[in-house]
Amino acid sequence: MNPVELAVAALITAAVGALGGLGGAILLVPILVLSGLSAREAAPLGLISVAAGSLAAAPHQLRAHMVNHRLGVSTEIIGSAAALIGALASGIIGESTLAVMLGVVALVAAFFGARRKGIRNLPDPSLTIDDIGEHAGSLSGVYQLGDGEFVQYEAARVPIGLVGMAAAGLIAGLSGVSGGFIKTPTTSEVMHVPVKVAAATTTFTVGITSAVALLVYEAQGRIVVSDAALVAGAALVGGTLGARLQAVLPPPLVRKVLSVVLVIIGVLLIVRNL
Amino acid sequence: MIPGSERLAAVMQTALIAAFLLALGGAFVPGAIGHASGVACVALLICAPVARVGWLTVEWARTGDRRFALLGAVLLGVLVTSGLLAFLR
Repeated sequence: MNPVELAVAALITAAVGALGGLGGAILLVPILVLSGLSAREAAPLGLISVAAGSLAAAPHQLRAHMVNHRLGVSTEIIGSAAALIGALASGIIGESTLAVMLGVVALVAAFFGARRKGIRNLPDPSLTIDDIGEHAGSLSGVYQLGDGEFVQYEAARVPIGLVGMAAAGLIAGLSGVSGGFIKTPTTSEVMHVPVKVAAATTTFTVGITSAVALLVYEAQGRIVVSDAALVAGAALVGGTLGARLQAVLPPPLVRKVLSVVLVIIGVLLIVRNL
Repeated sequence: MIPGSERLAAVMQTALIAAFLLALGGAFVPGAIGHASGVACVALLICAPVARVGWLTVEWARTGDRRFALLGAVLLGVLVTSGLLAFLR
């Protein structure tokens, strides 16, 4: 893959990933592997894309008070520890094993992306715009659903949620995809946090997970700086574009199309490497 | 609500612009300067979320939310340990 193709792939996957709420790396890494890059070389580029996407979304999400930082920090302790273990283990796992694992991850992501639900928590008419944000001392908060509609929520079943976060961290460290496709459904479906807050909180935490794994990859000498810079620049633009396009295109539709693409990529990766 | 989150958003916006400029330098400027720019971009992408956790931890400690300040400190500990483990291996 030449630099122009790499930049275009990073830009498009970051935009589509941000649009669908799955993260760009879940598309970028399998595409890079299918185009001839080894899974070991593709993983750091995937995590650069994740880190760039997380940074691109941060200013808007902070101003909208959409992220529950207390929930993110609480769950990310185990997520980061698992990412460290995964990244250290990835250096000793065989190339074809990594590629098959990536294929399985793509299929699992397709499943979660296609089945994700819409709104669980309903608006509370007694709440106002002054109530928006996370609550001190707890894993609860209020977010704005639409014009004049505000929803209260509180994270439930946290211990089970932590298992999902550990799995997501391990996969991120091993393969270079963000693990957001596990984190967001876990936060939403298991912990009963509204999808919008879950997706925003995941965008925050995948930035931390990728930082941990990137440190390991850097120490292993696996980051090619010129390629990383190219992917970072393209992913910063793509992530910003995707966040803006979210207002125009319905994320559920994008997630379903993404799921079909992921199934094709996943099957190709598994068949080629078995 | 997090006190001062507007300030944090402004810091993240600045980091975003800086990362983009450094990425352009790393991708298109030849030689040592381009390489240094690319390395700085990667370093910024790694440091930005860590700095955000640090900022949150300090804010929670300052406003008396001790339980979450402690959790923030534990997460920072995990991140620092990860860095040390990665480079000492």
